[in-house]
Amino acid sequence: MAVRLKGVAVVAAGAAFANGSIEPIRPIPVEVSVDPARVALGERLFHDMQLSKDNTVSCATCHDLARGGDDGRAVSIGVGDAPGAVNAPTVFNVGFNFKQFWDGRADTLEAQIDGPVTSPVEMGSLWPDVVAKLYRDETYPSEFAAIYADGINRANVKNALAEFMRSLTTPNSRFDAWLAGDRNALNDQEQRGYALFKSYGCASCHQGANVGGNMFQVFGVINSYFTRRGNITEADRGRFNVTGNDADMHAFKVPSLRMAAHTAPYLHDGTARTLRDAVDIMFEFQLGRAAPDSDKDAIVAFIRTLAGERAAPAAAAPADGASRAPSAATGPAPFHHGALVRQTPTRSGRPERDRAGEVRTSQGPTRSGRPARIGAGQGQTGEISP
Amino acid sequence: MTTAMKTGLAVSAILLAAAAALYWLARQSDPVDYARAGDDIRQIRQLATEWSVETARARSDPMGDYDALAAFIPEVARHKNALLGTVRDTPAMPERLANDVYAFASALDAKEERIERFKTANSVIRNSVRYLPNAAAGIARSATDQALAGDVTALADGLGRFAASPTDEAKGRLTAILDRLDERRDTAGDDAGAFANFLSHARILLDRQGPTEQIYRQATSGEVGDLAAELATEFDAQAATLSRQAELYTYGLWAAGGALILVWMFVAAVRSRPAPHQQAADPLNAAVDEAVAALPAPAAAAANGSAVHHHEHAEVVPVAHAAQKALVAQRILNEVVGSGIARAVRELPVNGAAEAAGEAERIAALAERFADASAARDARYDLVNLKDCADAALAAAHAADGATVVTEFGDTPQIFASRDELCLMLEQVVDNALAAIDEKGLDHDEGEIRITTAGDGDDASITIIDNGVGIAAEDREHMFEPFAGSRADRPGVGLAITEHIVHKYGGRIAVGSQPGGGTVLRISLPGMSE
Repeated sequence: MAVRLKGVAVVAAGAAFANGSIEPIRPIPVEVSVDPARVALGERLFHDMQLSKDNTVSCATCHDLARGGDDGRAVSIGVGDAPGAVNAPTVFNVGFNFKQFWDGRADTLEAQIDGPVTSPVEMGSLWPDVVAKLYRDETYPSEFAAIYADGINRANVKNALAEFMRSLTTPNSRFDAWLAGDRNALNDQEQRGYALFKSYGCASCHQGANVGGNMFQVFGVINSYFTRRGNITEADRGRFNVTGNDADMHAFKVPSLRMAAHTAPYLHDGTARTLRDAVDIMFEFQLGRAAPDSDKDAIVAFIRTLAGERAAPAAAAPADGASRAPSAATGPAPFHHGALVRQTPTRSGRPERDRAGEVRTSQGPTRSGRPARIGAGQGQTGEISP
Repeated sequence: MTTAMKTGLAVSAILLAAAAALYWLARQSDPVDYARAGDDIRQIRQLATEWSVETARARSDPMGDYDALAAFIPEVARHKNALLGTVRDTPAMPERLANDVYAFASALDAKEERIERFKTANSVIRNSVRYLPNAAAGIARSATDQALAGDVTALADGLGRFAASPTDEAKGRLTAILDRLDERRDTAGDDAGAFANFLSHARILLDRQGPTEQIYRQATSGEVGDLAAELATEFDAQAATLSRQAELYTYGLWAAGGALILVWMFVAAVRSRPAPHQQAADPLNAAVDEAVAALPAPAAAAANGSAVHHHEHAEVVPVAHAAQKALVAQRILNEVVGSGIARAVRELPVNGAAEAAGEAERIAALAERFADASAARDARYDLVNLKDCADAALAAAHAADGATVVTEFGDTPQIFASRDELCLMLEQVVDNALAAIDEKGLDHDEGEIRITTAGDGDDASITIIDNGVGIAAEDREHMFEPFAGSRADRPGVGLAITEHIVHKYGGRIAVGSQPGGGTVLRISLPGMSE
């Protein structure tokens, strides 16, 4: 994947300005090189229930783009109402993850797609059946033929889906604006939360552009999480299932915190119902440290500033989102993709023209003419409302 | 086609097939594939080096992110998969090379896994390294016991240095301080929680820094780079070898193909030459057979009651006309019988009078004397009409007065040859015919020699038919061999001379006979085309 890191120098300068040193977190690139035609085709496939065995489940079923890119459940429900083994991760910013799945068993987004499509508790399909269904469709054959010389096949379906996922980035978060030098993009609590995030050691693992997603870490590195929780499943063994190496027992890909504000519940087993619950568990088992509530709240407030806007060109209505009740436990409002920074009031009152031009410069026009809605986090903390 | 030709064709065909097979094999192993594999390996080597450098940076930078480190994974995988793809798509690749590639790929996977394990371990170390100084400062500030505060500060400072360069000495010293502080865990009072956290992180750092260093050294070892250097060299060498082989095999292919073409051309040329008289399929034989069929049946002669008998007949001396003719005859005779004539003549059973034996001895001696010199003497070549020679031959026949001669001279192409030799040839034939008539004991008006000339495309042909005694079936096999005749008064070299001259000019000769009915002899000679 070719990601153009435009503006990194500016960010670095801003980061130096922020606290006098290079920050462990980098901004989400504003531009991502993707092919708009493949993205559009991938988006259609993403919402297409024909990919599942009984035409009841699409990718969007568990990765609701209107709700932060996951489904608000501890574990997802696949075909035949089968429960999954782990918490569905967000589909946003997955292109920045170094590997896919909690145990990192897929090296690429293309390879990852085999998992949900063929898993009997997710979509339960066989690729030949999927390809055959798409062939019978009225428009897929011509849509594929326009992009791929060899038309519809497994590799091309995966490529289109992966391309769509690569487009699902969330740049221009308030935190990234702060990194870029906008001192007023974060309030005092959020800034203090970031400082604590670093000093307590959260940033030892949650770092990089995706604030995670670029390494494995043992869950329970200081204290044993699984001894406490009990009822250890195969999925709990994590990376060990891939490598068979004892050192990888209970190791998981460190999840990105970019969309954490919108993707409760948390952890691979979905046991942390709120962000604060997750932070508590992290302190206990990963840091081996006690911390006052005010510190943890500040860290939660900081994490909520990480979600940006959706940069993808297409903004199709969620196919099945309405049928799924929002998780009562999570609290956060759905993540409304298609939001534009220029319509997102910031507390600083920073001139909008500075950023508006950066949005979607590499993308095509939006397909839906829906009015863009206010983006990430608004109304959650109350502090960023105009 | 002779056995030698067949062998030549077969050998060159096998050569061509072998060259083609080698060439095909060489094409199976395109040196470009090996060169590309070498490039991928070099790229991986470069990436692996940078990967190790980036790992070192991550180790020394407690605040750095791992994005740059993770970015190597897809880059390395891309080249690794290309390399494995090359191996998969090159079935002709030597197994040793393929196995080396697999081993190399495993080493790469191991490196990635070690770097991942290092990142995991390093994060824990980083966390403690960053936590401990602040925690120590807090504890020291609120501590009432100066010794404890001193120990805490000393431990934190020591661990900071230990993290940079873990030594056994430092570990022992710091473990002693840690154990001492651990015993006072309960005296920390209100700060018990913070103190316990401090101690547990100090313990983590002490316990894990060594193993993390070990993982770091494994992750950044030069193993992959060394393997890559060796492997790239092997692939480059293989590519060079294959390039040379491909060149060589291409030449081989051309050479073998050329050989086959040459042999084929030779065979084709030989096959297009006039076939020897023995060939049954020759139209000459068909014409002769037809003429033989038209000969009078021997039964008629038998019905006449005329038995085969000898009677005195004037001796025909065919070479007596001129010295020139004698010389030609002598030369041809010598060419026919070669240097072995004397022995052959002397071994002949001589049933005749002493004069006959003396005659044979004289011929032998003569032949011996002229044997070598004759072949070297060139005949004078000219454009000759067969009819002219036939006339000369008939002069001899008339002189013999042995038979009625009927001629039918059609137009024939001229023949580029020695007139004397062609005439000698026809004289022999006519002489033989007269002898056959004589032998049959026909009266002079009963014997008949029919001579016909005709053009046959580019060939000139002459047919001589007599109604003489014919040739017995058992004699036909040897009739062209010198001294094959059974009559003591005739040396039996006539047909041998005839055949020799016919072949000398690329012609063909066919003889058919009905014993007691007569003989048909047909000669075809290639004429000069306009």
